Amino acid sequence: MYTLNHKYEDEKSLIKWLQEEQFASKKECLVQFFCGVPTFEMMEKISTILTKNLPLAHIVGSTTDGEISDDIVTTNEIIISVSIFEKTKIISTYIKYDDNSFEMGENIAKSIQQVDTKAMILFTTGLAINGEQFMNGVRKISNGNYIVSGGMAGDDGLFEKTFISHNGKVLTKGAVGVTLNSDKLVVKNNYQFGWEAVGLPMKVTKSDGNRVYELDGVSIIDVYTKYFSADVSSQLPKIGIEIPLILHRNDNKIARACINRFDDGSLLFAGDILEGESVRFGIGSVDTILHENKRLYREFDESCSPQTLFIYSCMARRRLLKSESSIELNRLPKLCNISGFFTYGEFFSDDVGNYLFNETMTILALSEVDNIEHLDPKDCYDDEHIEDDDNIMMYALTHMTNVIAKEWQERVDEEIVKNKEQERQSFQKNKLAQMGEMISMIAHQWRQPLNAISASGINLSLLSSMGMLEDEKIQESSEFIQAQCQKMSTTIDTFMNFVKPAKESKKFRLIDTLESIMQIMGTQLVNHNIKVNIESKDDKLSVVGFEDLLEQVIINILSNARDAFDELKMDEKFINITVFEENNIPIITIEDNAGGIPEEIQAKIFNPYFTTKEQGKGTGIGLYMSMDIMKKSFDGDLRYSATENGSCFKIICASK
Amino acid sequence: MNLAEELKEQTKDLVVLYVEDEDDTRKQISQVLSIFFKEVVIGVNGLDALEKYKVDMDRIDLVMTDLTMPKMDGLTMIRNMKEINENQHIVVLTAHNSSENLMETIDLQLDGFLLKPMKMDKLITLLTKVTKVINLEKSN
Repeated sequence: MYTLNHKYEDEKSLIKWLQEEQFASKKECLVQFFCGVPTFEMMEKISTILTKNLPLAHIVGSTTDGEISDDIVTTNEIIISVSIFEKTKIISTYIKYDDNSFEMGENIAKSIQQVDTKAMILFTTGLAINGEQFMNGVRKISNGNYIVSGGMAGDDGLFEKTFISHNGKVLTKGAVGVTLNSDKLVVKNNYQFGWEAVGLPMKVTKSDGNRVYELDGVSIIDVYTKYFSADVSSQLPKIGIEIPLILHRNDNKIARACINRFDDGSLLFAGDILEGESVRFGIGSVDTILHENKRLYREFDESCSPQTLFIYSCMARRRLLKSESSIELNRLPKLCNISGFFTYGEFFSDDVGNYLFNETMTILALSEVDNIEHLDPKDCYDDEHIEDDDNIMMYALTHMTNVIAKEWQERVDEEIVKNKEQERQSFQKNKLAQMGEMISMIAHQWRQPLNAISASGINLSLLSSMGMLEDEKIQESSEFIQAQCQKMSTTIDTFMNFVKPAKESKKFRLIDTLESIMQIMGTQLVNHNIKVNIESKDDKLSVVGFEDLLEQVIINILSNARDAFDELKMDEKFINITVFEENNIPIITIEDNAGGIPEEIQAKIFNPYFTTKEQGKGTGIGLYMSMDIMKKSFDGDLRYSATENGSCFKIICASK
Repeated sequence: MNLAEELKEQTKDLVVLYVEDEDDTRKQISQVLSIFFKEVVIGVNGLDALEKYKVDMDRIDLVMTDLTMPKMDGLTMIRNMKEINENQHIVVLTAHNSSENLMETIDLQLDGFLLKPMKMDKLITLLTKVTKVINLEKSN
């Protein structure tokens, strides 16, 4: 096989060239024409000449944003590229766009794919078609069995009207396709990117197809303005290709260039960007592009020695590289013909999927000879390094931006780790405080029976020493001591139940929880002269969850009230606990008359590190932890309100 | 004659006001005290005891009281009693390591402390010492 290119000057010289090369006599002839004059008339003219002179050939054409003929890049020219195959059968067709890009992809792939298809080259019109969905439609049929290549038509950067054509027919909306079907044809593809991702990853929080509204919850145009200044963002979409968004799919870096902006601040991109996807800004520089070239060409050369290369490259590269566009092509193997065009989106496929790319140069390499001598990379491309001051600055700034972003991210990560450690420590401290609280409750609970048992012993001993001890008294004291011991044992059981780690989540009645808390805390509160009233509007009110967690919350609030009362000299100390239902949600309120929380610290009581207690005196798990428990484990909340003479805590247990 | 019997000789004509809010302890200790004393007047908290004291203060030779109690705590009650009779003999029964500030009791001129739970020998020793003084005062 071979490929020859012709730059169109006039009809006569084109016809002359076609005749000289005797293309009309070739059986399998693929003609691609790349039309840098993006008008219907010119497309029709060229396709008509070609169809008339090569009636058996498969002729496809596309308007462009620049043409490629060997290592020369042109604009506003028309390049006719004719490929003659010997061991390959060509099939081609066109399809009109019918408001569904996915179906269009399915249909065109279905109509031209064969059992032995090795490659499918597709051109679509460049505007109004969703290239991504088109590729997905094609993938449904191609299923990775062959390589998919091609691109979307351009119109010299005007974004007004693009055209494609097939055998004399010119389409304003649709797709044309060619399959290369053969046992012998060797096809390879590759792509080059070279856009450098800068800054921190951002999450797409609102998008619809290829229209993006928000990044990280902020209007996307504001994000562009924030990072690139209003001067730059106001030039969107004109400069969209130079600062695309970069995303990752199946290990492929994919760039999405902005192609339109809307008054609502949303931007249209040349390809879908999904909600939830992580994107970064991309910055292209000649140096980064050419640097990446070198590496990829080397890989490419070693794996394939092509007879023909088709290049479908993004308009952005031509516009960025400008006069240096051809350098990319210089580096391609020189032993074969190259043709292609600059697109509004490139088609690419790998084992995992079909893609719509932006900002890349895709290469389709073809060979009908499977044993070509190996090419020494040194002979194939120029190794000179392009470096001028602009490029160095660009490189430096990109590098600096990324270093700053990375450092910032590291610092944030560090803070997060530090906060977690602090939280863990404060949890640990709270755990200890909670243990202390428990032990002090046991002490209170045990002191009385210990006193009583001891006194009973003294009683017996005295009576005995004075000869006044009667059998009846021994019996009585013995029973008394046993009863006291039972009481103490029960206390231990109750406490063990409280400190036992992680009870299971189950349904429990709120009134039962309160009663068991009173069993262990009751004496203490009475000793502090505090009257506790429990009022239950519905004894059956129950909650699902870890009962011990709720117990800790209640104990914490009760201990706080107890401590608040400690500082007060007053006769009527009370804590009123009410259990009721509000809007179908079980609620416990704990109200006291202990003077309340000073207004200036009310706002802080739920802060994680806030305490009014002296070091070491802090009891209970703290209000922050209590609120956290209610929110996380009970789907509820903990709220504070001031009453006339004290505080009221509202425990909301939503997980019924 | 053992120590307990010696003590009983000293206390058999005396009246004690015993103040304790906790039922079981009060019942047991008051039984012990009634072995020795002619009469044991009971107060179930500071306020109750103060009222009984006001009625019977001429008869009451000794007050034995807990400190942590509802209605009126032990210290407040003691201050009130000392206002009425600054020479009132008072013994405090308190828990070891309890939260009461015992510094406050220094100025109150108390006759002694017993730690709860009580030990019999300490009880007897203290009561022997205190009632000896009371008896001396009474005989004068």
